[in-house]
Amino acid sequence: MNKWFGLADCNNFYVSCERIFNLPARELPVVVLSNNDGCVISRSQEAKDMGIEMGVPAHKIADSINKKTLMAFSSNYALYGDISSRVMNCLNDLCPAVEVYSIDEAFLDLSLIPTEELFGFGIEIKRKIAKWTKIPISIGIAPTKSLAKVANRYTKKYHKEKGVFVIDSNEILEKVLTETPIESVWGIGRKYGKFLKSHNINTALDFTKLPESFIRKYFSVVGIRLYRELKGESCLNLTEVEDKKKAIQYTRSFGRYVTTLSDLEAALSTFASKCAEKLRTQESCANVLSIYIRTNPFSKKPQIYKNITLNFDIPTNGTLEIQEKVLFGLRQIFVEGYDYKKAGVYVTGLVPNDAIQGNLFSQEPDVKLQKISKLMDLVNAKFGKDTISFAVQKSKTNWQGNAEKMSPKFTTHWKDIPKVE
Amino acid sequence: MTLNYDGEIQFFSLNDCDIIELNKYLMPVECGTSATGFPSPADDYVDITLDLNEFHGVKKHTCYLVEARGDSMIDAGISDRDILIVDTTLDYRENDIVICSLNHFYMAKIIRRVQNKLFLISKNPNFQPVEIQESDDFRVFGVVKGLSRKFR
Repeated sequence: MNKWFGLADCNNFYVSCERIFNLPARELPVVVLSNNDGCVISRSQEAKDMGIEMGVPAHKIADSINKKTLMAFSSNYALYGDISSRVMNCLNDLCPAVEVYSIDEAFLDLSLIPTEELFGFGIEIKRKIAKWTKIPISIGIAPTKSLAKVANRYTKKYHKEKGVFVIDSNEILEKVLTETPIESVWGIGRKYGKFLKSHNINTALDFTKLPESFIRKYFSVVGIRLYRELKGESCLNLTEVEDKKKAIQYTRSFGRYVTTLSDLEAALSTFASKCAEKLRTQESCANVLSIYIRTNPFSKKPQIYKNITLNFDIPTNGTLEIQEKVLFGLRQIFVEGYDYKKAGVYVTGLVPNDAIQGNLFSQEPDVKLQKISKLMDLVNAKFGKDTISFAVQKSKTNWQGNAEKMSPKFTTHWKDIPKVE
Repeated sequence: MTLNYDGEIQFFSLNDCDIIELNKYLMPVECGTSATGFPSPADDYVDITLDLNEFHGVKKHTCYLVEARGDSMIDAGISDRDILIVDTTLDYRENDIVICSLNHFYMAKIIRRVQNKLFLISKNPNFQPVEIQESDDFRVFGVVKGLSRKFR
């Protein structure tokens, strides 16, 4: 039986989330800024048409924002995380099997769908996701995962209005591969793109025309898998995270009241390293991180509950990376003058280690950090917990002034839910 | 029991201040804790839960909550500050209350077709029907399936 894979990808995801409840944002070019309002991380089509590039520093577009010809939002990960899980759950309702690949992408197993119905099925998924979640998606469908990824890119570039594209014949396959530059193939990346170009391999089609011996000589097993997948032979299956935990948390009440930032930093970095350890044990990486701190609700002293949700640029299970993010978050929410009694770290949006979007050939994005984490796990397993841990450093960054343009947490905070008349 | 900022229902147990966090709207019905050795016939049903999501027939991932402001729908039973439960999967039918956007505003209204014109109807004699013009940006967000209100 033929295998069929779909890749569903949310269009301009963060911007699309902002546009659900902010109606004027539908009529203007919109960008979403990174943590600290540093640079552009998501752009609406209109913003792309204005020539705004990905990663542009915010100050370079300040003029357009002030003139109100461009709308900018600080990143609101509580909203994006919630909308993402809605989209993924809806896909799950509609498709036989789903692999959540990143915050805005999922692989679909469509093998049960008759070939001639694939396009219509894709259109129906797209229509329902738009109606149910208000998020526009594009779907690429092909006989292998790598080709589904290629098809998805092709959809966005050449079949935007329909939003669905199926690679279901050799002629179409050849045409699509010809129009796919080698460096935009899933997992090739800039470094290998350059290398291949220097060998006059410019498109995905050129790559598939190479003799397998060439691939064996210069690439790892991962490269060979990609080569075969691009030729239409399915080597990668859907990885479902079913039996693994979907979220990991570590929360504790403190033995005594904690009042200073540095004590909370120490506690939360410990929690962070526990979460990272658990993640590595189940071979998952997290996309989203939440932390909270609270006072004792039974004491008569002033009460406070603070939480924050942040997103990792690349899913991670590295102790250092998770700690860094936790400490960053803590500094955003910490208020002095309270007796804190309980705190927690919560990671979610889990994806399997081997499904991480990075570079297939150079493996994970930060091999060094991974090695450190693995080593720590080994030492701690052998000589007892916390034999090795990171010294918590204070950051010199001044966090003030960031997230100025944050939209309300429409779907996760009672006081922020949309108002209607 | 208090509602926290995440909209989760929390139960504070009596012996410590650790919080047991449960899913939104989930209420365990406990019965038949018997320490004397004779099991209660109700023990088999100890894990029955009443779930307001189930009562309203909504799935968490296709249900949005919005807050009503004003009294334009008062005769439909919607008061100021009510929390409306909105289902985005339904196709709207005649007389459904819908959350829709007309140009730049979200509102709760009833859509009615009169001859070939569409009107947004309020449920309050003080509000006039609004005709939807061709040039308007009009979209239906979802159908209001129910509401929630606090009395204290």
